[in-house]
Amino acid sequence: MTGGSFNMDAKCPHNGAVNCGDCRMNALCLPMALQSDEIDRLDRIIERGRPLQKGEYIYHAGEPFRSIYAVRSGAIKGFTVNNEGVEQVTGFYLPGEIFGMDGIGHPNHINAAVSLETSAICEIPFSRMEELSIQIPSLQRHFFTLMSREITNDQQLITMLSKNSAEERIATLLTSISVRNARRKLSGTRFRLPMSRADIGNYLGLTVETVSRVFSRFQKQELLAVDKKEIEITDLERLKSLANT
Amino acid sequence: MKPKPVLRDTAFDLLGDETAALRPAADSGAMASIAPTGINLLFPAADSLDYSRYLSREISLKHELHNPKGPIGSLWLRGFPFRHLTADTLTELIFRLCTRVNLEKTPESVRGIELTPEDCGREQLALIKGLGFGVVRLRLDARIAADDRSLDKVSAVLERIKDFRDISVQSEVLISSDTAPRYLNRLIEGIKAHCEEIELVPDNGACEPEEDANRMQTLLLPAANNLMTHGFQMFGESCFKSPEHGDVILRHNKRLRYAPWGYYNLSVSQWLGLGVGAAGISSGFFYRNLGQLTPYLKRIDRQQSPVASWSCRPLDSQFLYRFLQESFCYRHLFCEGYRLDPEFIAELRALGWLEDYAHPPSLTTLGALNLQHILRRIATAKRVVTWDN
Repeated sequence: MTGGSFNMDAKCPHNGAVNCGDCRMNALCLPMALQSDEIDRLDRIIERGRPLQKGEYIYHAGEPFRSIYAVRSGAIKGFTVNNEGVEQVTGFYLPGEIFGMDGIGHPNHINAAVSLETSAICEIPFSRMEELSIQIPSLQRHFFTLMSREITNDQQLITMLSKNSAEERIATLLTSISVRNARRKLSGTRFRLPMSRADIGNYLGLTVETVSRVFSRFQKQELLAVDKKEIEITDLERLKSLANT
Repeated sequence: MKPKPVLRDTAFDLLGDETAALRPAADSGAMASIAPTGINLLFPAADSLDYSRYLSREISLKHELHNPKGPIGSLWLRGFPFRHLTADTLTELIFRLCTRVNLEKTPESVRGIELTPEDCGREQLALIKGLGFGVVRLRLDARIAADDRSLDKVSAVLERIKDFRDISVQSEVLISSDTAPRYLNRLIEGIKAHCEEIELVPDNGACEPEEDANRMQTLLLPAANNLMTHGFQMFGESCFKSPEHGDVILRHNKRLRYAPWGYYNLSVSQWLGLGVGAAGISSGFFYRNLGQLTPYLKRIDRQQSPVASWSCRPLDSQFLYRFLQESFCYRHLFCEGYRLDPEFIAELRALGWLEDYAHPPSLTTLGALNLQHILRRIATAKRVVTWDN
């Protein structure tokens, strides 16, 4: 991701509360050598709808794959439902992160995406991206670089989570959230978990009781302090070594 | 130094073909099909700039041959894809394919990629998994392998792949008369628990000395027996599939077919072959693309189809093709409507290549290993096969 001469601290012209420099979407907005009029043109194809309420769907599984999305605020949960109706959480997406790529190798979304709390997202429709890429070739290259990186990182995290002990899995998730927050220049040691214990357990392949027990154990070991969804990591280095990261 | 690519001498080379006109064959027809289609994208060993863009253009040029409306039953990236694709261009290729054909996943659909151990870094595997690939076919080069060559690299790759759930592994083991038997045995012991399929591919030169051919047999027969002792079933000349492999069920249900790219479900009747030397099936006719990179690129640049040759008749009308299917898929030496010369059958039985008294004549393991010779005799020798009135 490069910024050229663009001011990384500039406010998003559509939403003064969002800092473009903190949003991963800026990798699209601000690729190398984009002129300000090109940034404007890109900005025009991005759709920013009304905020989503908790439980509101962005897309359902099986819907045609037409856009990818970026989280501006709030949190999004991706999940699938098997033939028996059992839900399997496939990912959590925080501000500045891109989701919806499960559809990139298929005509339809494999997962559904739902808002975990009041959230705001940006939507990039592919067809419009393609139109614009004819005029700005570097945009398309950059787009696929971004996509491949997100797909790779998602899968690597899933793999890492699936093969470890319960403590290692939870430590990995917490350090991942810590890193993602720090990337957005937020605190990497004090944050709010937007997802429930049940969702955490589902995602990590653990029961909700195991999740609660591990959190309690981590507190006793003075790795973190927990107050409902508020987390304070008190020994990040030890937590990272537990996660093998 | 990059390994020399191995050109497999498949029985399909025995089928008659004719040079393609610079337009689709008159009988091939151009029909939108809702039956499942298979797609093979072939990436050559030689480097080429922007090769994936040529593949995209070839899809358009072959629109008259293939216009799949139905699902894609099989999608494979074959050869050396990571010599031509980066993470971004692979992502873009799959994205572009998705916009042109129906890549919706069904229980029967297969999406696979051929890789060398060097291509199996954690990031590459993660991307492959994320793009929906469910099968990795690992190319293992054992052509010059001493007894004591280490298996650490292969073991590490297999462990890494195991970390990514739901990726099946196949192994294509390239062997030659220089392969140490003990190494081959160790390799098979090391990989068979991880692989749903192991194919042993001899590096046969066009003019192989007889002693090398005999040495190859000496190498293959114990390997075949080893695999079959452990439950693998033999297909074709030297392909072994685990009992859980889908093709074992297809064979049982008589729904298996064979082509130069491997075995497939009979329901996938159209095959789109893209790339240098790729092959395909359109409306029952078999075709091959130009086999050299430069002429292939030039044809695409001139907006012309890179098809070099077509089968002179529909495949199912050729008795040799039907013998080929029976022998490769079902280990029978049989074709309805035709009779094998009893002396020929007796000769093969004396060699230990046919089971005694089986009807229809069934190949032994040794016979299957010599299938090319058998089919060549059927194709070329007079009176070996006669029409059964």
